[in-house]
Parts: sequence; C-alpha cells; structure tokens
Amino acid sequence: MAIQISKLSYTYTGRAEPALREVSLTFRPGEVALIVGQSGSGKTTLARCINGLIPHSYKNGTLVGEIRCYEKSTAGLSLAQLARLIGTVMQDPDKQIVATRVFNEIAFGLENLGLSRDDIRARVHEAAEYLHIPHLLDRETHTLSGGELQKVVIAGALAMRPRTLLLDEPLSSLDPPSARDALALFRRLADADMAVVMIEHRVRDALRITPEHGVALHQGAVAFDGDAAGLRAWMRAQRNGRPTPRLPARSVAAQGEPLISFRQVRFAYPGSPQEQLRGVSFDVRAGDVIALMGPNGAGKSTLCKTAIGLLRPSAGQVIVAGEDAARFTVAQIVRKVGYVFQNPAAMLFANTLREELSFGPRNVGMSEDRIVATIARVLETVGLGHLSLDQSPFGLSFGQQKRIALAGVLAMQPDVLILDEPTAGLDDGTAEDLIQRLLTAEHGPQAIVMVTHDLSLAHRFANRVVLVADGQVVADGSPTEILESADTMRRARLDPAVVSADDQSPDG
Amino acid sequence: MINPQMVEMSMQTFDPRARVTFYACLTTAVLLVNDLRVLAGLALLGSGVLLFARVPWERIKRIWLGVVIFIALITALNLLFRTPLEAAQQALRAVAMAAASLAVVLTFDPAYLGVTFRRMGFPDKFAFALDLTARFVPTLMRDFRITIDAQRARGYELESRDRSLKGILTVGRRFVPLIVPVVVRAVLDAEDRANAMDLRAFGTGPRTWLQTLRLRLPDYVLIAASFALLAGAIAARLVLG
Repeated sequence: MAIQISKLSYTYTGRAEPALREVSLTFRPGEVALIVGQSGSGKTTLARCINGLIPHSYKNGTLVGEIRCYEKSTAGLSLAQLARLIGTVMQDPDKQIVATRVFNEIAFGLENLGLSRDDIRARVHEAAEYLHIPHLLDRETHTLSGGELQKVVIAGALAMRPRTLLLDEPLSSLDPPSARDALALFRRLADADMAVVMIEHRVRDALRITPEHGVALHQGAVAFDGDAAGLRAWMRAQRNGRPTPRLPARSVAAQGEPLISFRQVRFAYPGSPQEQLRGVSFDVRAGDVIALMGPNGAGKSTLCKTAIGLLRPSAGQVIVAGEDAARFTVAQIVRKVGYVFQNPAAMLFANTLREELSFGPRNVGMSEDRIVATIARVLETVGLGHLSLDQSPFGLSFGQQKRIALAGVLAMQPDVLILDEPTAGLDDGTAEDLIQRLLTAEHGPQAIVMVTHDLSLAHRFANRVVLVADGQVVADGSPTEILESADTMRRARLDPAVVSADDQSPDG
Repeated sequence: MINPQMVEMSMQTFDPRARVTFYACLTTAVLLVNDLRVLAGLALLGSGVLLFARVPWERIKRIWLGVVIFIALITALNLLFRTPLEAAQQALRAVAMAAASLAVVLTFDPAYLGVTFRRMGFPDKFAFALDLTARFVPTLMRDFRITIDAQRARGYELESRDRSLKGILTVGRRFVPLIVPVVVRAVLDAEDRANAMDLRAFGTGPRTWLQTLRLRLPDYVLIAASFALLAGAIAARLVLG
C-alpha cells in the first residue's frame, strides 16, 4: 500500500465540529485516486494530514487515528522524510513558487535535503526533461504562464523522487489544453507505478483519465469509496434530489439596443511588442448570457477590462449604454457594467459583510435606506442570506468569499455583469447553483458575460459563445454551433474532444 | 524589477559579497562624517560607482527625478528649520547613498541574494528570507495593481481631472484603504508559501546552496579598499569632527 488511512479524525483548534470524521482509505501504487466533495467537505484537511502539514505545521488541532505511508506510520516521520515519500502540488502554483529562476525553483527541495550540487543539477535536468520543460530552466518564475508554473511546481515535487504525488485541485487555474496536458502527465506517472492522489473540483475533466479509485467526502466523512464508475453513479444519485439546471428562458433571445458595443477595439500593454487586442467587435444586448472563451493569454480579461475603463483602447471604441466609454471614469462606468474578479481576495477588504457590501453602492451614490434593502437581497441571491452582516468576510470559505465578492458587485445593480472565471475553485454543484440563482434573480443584471474555461458552463447556461484567440474574435454563435465544431475550436487552439455529451447533461 | 541581465554591467564582475561590503562601508562612512569636503568626496565616489556600473540612463532617469525632488525637499526643510551647513550635509549624503544604492541594487542578480548573505555568515533562514523578498517584490506590485483595479471596479474613484497639488494629494489619500486588502492577501499567501516550503523540507537540516561564489584578487582589493574607506571616515570624524 502507498498510503493507508485508519479512522482518521481531525478538529482544528477553536472549532467545535471536526473537519474529518473517522476517515479510512487506502491508496495503491500505480493508481490514480480522485477525491471529490463540496467546499468544506474536508478534502484539503485530508491532504494536509497525508502530507504531514498536520500535525507538523498545524500543531494545535486534535488528531486521532493513523496514516501509514509505505508501511511506516507518518507520526514517526519528519516533514523532510515525508517529503521524500510524498510530493505535494497545491491549488495555486503561484503561491508555491519560492525562487526567482525556474532552475532554482526545481532545485529548492533538493537543496533543503542537503544533496551534492552535482546530484541536484542532474535531478533538476531529469525532472525538466520528464515534463518537457528544459527550455524554461533559465526563465524568471514571475514571467511564466499558469500552465508553465504548474509544470515547474510538479517538476520541483518530482525532483525529490517521491513515491506518491498528492495534488490539491491541480486543474483550477488551467485552460483546457493545459488541463489536458496535466491530466495526461498524471496518468503517465501512475502508469510508471507512482500513487497519484488528486483532489479536484473539475470532476468531469478528471474522470477522463479513468482513475482506478474514486472517493467522495461529505462533511468530513467518506461518503463513497470505490471505482470511478461507481463514483460517477454516486454523483448522479446525489443530483437526483436537486433541481436540474436548465437554460433560463430570458437568456435565449437577446434584444434591444446594445448595452455594450465593442467596435474594432485594439489594445497593447506598454512595452509589449504585440497587441493583446486586434480589432475586436461584438455587441452585448439585454437577455444575453455570453460565454467568452479562449486559451490563456487570448485577451479575454483584457477585453473585459476595456469594457469598464480599467484599460483604455489604443484604437477603436467601447460604447456603453450608447455613449463612448472613453468620456467616463471607471467609477462612472461601473454603474452600468459590473466586473467580478476571479480572485475574491482582491476585492474583499472590510471588517464586516455589511461594510463590504455597502462599499460599492455607497461609491455610486445609493441612499443608505436603499443600500440596506439591496444588500439583504443580493445576499439571498448568492445563497448566503443566512450569514450575519456583522461577521468578517475573511473568516469565510473560498467559495463563500467568491459569492460575497459577486454580491458586492450585484449590489451596485449594473445592467451588465462580467464574471471572470465564476466557477474556478468552486465544486460543480455550488457553481451551478450560483449561476442558476444569478439568472433567475428578480433584480438581476440584464446581460451576463462569463469569462470561462468551463465548457460545461457554456453549454448549460450561455445563449452565445464568443471565442477569442490571439486578440481577435474567431467565432460568435450558439454554444452548440461553436463548441461542437472541431474546426472552430481548433482555430481558437481549444480541443473539441473535451466536449462530450457529459458536458450537456446535468449528471456529471 | 529591473532585470540585471539586461543591464550592461561592469560592477557585476565583482563577487556580490565584495559589492555588499563596499556598499555597507560607504553607507556607514557617509553617515559618520560631517565635514563637507569629505562628504563631497563620498558623493563623487558614489556617483563614480554608478557611472562605473553603466546602468542605462533610460532605466534610472525616473528614479533620479524622485531623488532630486527628495533632495530638494530635505534641503528646503533644512534651510527653513536648521542651518545652510546641515542642508548641504544632508544633500551630499543623499546623493552619495542614492547613487551607491542604485549602482549596487541594479547590478545585483536576485538569484544570488540568498547565497551572498549565507556566505557572509548569516543563517540559512535569514539568507533565504532575502531570496523570498526579491521574489515577492514583483508579486506584491502585481497584487497591488489587481487590488486597485478591483476596488475601482466597485466604483472607488481614483481618477481626478484636478491636476493641481490638491487633486494629486486627494488621489494619493484615496490609495490608503487599498493597502488593507494587499496586506491581508500577502499574509494569507505567506501561509501557503510557508506550507509549500515545509513540504519541500525547508529548515529541516543544513541545506546546500546551489550557486557557488569565489573571491578573486579584484574582490579582495575592493574589500580592502572598502575597509580603508571606512577607517578613513572614522579618522575624519575624529579629526575634523
């Protein structure tokens, strides 16, 4: 056995409820094990117990039960010993990078183990070759893309030659081609007799590499433990109790004058040798639910930032509510167009939810009476009506913070809402519930633009898909027309093979 | 951050430890002496070192503009509240330190920051903390930009059509609340980064530093000259006051 977990329970200090309850699991060499569960189900806590952060770094909680790693109890192993057995890759690769150069980053763990310089250099080259990234070795880490960072972090873990690879949401920041490459790599490692344990929200993607083992956690306990087919059936059974997501009628036919009109928009960042936007034109009308898709670096977020004036086009025009956006400040434009950033941490700053949610409406001059009514309504819209307005946003889970950030923008009552990766970091159920609530909200926005890599989201909720590649719109049409056209998807450097019937069904 | 590889450097021919020693001695000397002639000499030395570093003017002209404004400000304040002598002393100190700082910082490869201090006798953890700081600067700047954009997207007004000093100060004051989310984010990120380092066995025993440093004759000469400069400054302070 690679890892054997027996009756493991863990309670964080200061919390009444345990994060893990009597978890017993076994992971074997040569298999990919997929662990799923909603936000707060205990997945990350389980990962911390396996890799030794609990109890080595989180010392104050209460740990009961045992984990054996290759027949040795982890209780008697130091972090350095565990690091040789278990390589860990966490959710956000950017937060794991510690060195300024790629070579030094991959070498970091080996330096800490005190290996000789010759050994270190040989192992760094070996790991880089295995991941096909020798060309990155001299690059500075802050210049790498999300997919490249992911590979560098994995190379850093593999260089220590672990026998188990533990992955906590490795796909969350990757576009479809990078996610496909990463999944193929995990399969290859398992086929080479490594135990690969993967916690992942993008379950449909992860199931494509046919994991040998599937586990579902619910409220800290094991709710399912079996093979991948069984996991799929279990998830389908779980969904039967929930309403089936459907395309809301209001998003089927867009109408009226454009709320936003991009007209031959061009943009280049200062000092950049090439333009990020090269003559983008399309309209957003009332009733539109647009999935703005394309590979990393295609210009999607840049385009959205021109819509609210954070970036000003070098040529062309953005027309908002019939007027040239160039004439207005950002604070004036956001009364019409709301923008929710991918990472809620960038948006949240106040001590209480009340203060947080009042911030935007106050900035746009809403009366205090109206603010009170509005923030109560938007909290209901994002499914957090049960929270106290006096609590801090920083004590909430990532998924809840994401919904609070959305509520903060909704409270400003924009006509158009732009969501940057709305489902990133959320489990499928929570993400669908959130979008569903948004589309059926009584005082919701008239149109929604979602920047997303999630093909399933586009299929289920959008009435239009706008594909962007190399700063240009390469296709604009219905989800079926665009996402199922192999030729169109290839033009946007996306893989049509990853769109399957699964993506259109609610079953996962 | 300026990439030192892109700067044509002659300062980089010296071992980083020799450069750090020189900088420490020059800075201490500048702070020790009060004599205008010696301070003028040190300011000339600092400027000479910056010329020797051959940092392209395009890269430092904005920084120098800031330095000139800062010097003008402290000189004016000293003239107002103290004596012309003190004003001249502070101005010369600022020139010497700004020039030497630019010469050393802009020619320093951040990948060598940690190993430099480790080889100077500092502990592993302290040396690596310096490495991390170098890595954090661009990250922190990027996070600050994102936070500013995120708050502007919530209607927080940071633009002003008022180009007067009052308008600029108003915009400056409005940046203050944005420091909170940046700091919170940095603290949360630091926990993740500390975990990532723990998981790669950091701090569990003596570590190997991949980069090697070797002192050559010119480095020894520079180190000796640096200490001679410091000794001269101490003598000047004792003799000239």
